[in-house]
Amino acid sequence: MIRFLLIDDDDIISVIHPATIQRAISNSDIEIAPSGNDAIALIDELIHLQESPPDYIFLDINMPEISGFEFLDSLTETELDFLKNSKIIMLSSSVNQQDIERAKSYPMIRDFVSKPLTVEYIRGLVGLAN
Amino acid sequence: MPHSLNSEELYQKYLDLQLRVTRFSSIEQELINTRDQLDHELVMHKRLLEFNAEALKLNSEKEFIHLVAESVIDVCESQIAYASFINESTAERFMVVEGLRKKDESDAIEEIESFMAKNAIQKGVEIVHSDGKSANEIIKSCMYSSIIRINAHVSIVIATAISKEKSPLYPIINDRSKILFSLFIQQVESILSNIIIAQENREQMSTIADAQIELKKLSLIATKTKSGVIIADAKGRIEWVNNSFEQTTGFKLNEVIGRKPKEFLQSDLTSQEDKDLMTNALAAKESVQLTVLNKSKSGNHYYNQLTITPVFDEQGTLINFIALQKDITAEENYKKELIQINSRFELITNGTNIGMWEWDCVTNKTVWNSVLHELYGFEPSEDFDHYKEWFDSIHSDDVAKMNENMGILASGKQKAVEQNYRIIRKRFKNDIRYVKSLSQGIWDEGNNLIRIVGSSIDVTEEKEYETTLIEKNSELEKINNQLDQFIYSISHDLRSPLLSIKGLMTLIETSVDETESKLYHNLIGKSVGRLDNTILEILNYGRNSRVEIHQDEFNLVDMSKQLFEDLVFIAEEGIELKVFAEGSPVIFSDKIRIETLLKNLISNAIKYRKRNTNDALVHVKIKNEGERFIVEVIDNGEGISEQNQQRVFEMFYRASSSSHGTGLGLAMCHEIVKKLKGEIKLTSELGVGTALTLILPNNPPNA
Repeated sequence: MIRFLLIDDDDIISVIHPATIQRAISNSDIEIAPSGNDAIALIDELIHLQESPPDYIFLDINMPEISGFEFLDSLTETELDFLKNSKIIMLSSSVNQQDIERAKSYPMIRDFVSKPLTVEYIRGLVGLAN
Repeated sequence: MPHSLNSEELYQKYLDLQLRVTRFSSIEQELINTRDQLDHELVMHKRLLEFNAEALKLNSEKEFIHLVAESVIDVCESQIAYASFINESTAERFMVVEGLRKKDESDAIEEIESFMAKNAIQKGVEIVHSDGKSANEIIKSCMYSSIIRINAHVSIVIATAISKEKSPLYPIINDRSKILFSLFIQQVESILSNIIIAQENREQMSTIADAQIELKKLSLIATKTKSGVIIADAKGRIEWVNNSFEQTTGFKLNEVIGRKPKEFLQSDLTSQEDKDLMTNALAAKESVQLTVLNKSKSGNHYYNQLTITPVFDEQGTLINFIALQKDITAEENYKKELIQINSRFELITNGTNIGMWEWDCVTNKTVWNSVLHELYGFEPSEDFDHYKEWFDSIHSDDVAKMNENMGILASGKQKAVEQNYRIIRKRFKNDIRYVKSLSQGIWDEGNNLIRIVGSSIDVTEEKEYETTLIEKNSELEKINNQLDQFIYSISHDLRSPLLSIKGLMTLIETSVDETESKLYHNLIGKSVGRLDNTILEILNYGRNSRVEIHQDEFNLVDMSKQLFEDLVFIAEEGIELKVFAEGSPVIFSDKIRIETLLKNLISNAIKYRKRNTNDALVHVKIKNEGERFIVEVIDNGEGISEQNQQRVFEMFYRASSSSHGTGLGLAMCHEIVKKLKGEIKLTSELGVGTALTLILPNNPPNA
């Protein structure tokens, strides 16, 4: 079972991305958080229930209340430790050089991709390229 | 019968022996006493000797007085010592008290001094017994005191007291102490005299040494200076001249010695006025400073800047004249030339706005050209202190820099300095002008700054233009940044639905389930709707800045109700509108803009309503105050957190994720209100609700 956490405020994207992941791999477990704050609440609950952390986190940059970067900045030591093996992929609908530069400054960010996610990208990501 | 003493005789003998023993022992006692006294006296004398030895090592009166106070206690075996030193010529005066607790000192000093005054001890050694009425127990004693006059100015007062209670041997030591005290006083007198004489000698020696150094320096200066130096006797006859004098005049010292300078230096061209000035000053024995035209040995004329100072001895008798003379022909010629240049320059600069000035550092006179007079609002004929007017006009923030620059010029580090500064013009209602100035120093051959010339140009208009330009530039930069942000946000908002459509289409292509395909089709429709909405809002936003303000007459209550009807379909649960009006609901303003405002506020109230209940409310309160009208749109919805309230009027800022807004609505409202010269205010509490208040001008046509 591969665990995914999708953090995105766009309700339509939140339909498209899970469907795309399900088509790419058969054994997925997908959690959706509509905002950075919701995602933090979710992570804290996982820690509390002593569940395993998500393998992949798809994080949207442009969100109300707190942006994707602000979400990363607000993570506590405990949360960061919990997520130390999670692979974080930044998502954006506009490719902005400044955002790319900023993403490079976070060592925990694995990739920076434009929406929407595709089946091929996800298979490549989890090592099922065929 | 043997002869024997009877018992009576024996007894008599015994008594006799007893008497002798008693007598012997009293003699022995007397001998012991005498020895003790002699021993004691020896100790005292030893102490006196120690005092002498110590005192001779000292240099200052202060140290000496301290030693006196300490020693008198030892020598006289007394309890309290008082010693004071007075030098009337230097007004020096100090006092030492020994043997008292700090807190008793002032009382005791007062007592001792009043005792001294009462007993009128004026000279020599007097020994007086205190009557012991003192409040201070320790002075209920025998007191010795003496005033010693060393010379006309210096005197020293010594007093010491022996306590009856504290001294067990009081009756014995009393008499001897008197003698010791007298001896001690004699010692003090002679030692102090020595110290003072030694000191006077030292001072005289050092004054002589100083004077010698001073003289050496002076003669060095007189010999080496570039100015000519003449030393003349009281009748004005030359005693000595230096090298510079010889060079300037061509006369050698041996040619002029004993002669009066005027006999060979004055020429026919020397003005009578100058001659009189000199003659009168010399007769009055006053110092005089003037510039005269003189003639050298070879017949050349030169301008001589002359200072003559009379020298008096300590008794006020005139002993010498010292004259300093300086050939300033070059400067005088230069001055004439400069005046010519200036007048030429005046011709050239006439008609331009270049202010010219010249400041003569020697005479402290300042000359301005007509442009400067005009700039400061003075008539060229007016008499005023140019330097003061100029300096006082400098803006306080620029004064420090000006002083610094003048310092640089004066020090000769730079030949010229440039400065832009502000002036405040007293004669023009204290307006501020910007001046660009260039100041150039002019030095004489001896590297003395003799004058500063400069130009001052009023650059206020250029400066103002520059300031406007800087402001415009920063405004443009701001707009540019906003534009960047705008393009970024727009591209995001336009691309998001398009990318969703792209993703949905991929899903539909590979979908096998019809219900699933239908869902994706619906979502494509929703994305298209969002895209369209964003484009419309951007167009509206642009419209506000372009389109002129209209004046329409319309009913706000009707408008609110109609807008609510049009918008309420977006809410699935029940939501209620209530409209309250105070005053006439008919107002005069820009109908389309007001409609856009209300539409945004009402649609926000619906979008961010209280979810999952049936008691969501929207209240619109309208108040017509004649010159203005107030519209409040109040909801009981989710509210906005305090930190987000600051930013809701920013473009593309979305405070909530509960509905998909563009982040343009309130930013546009803000722009519209600004255009209509009104106000928009927000009050909100998270979980309670939000109220937006519009205050806008009402413009009835007859008003």
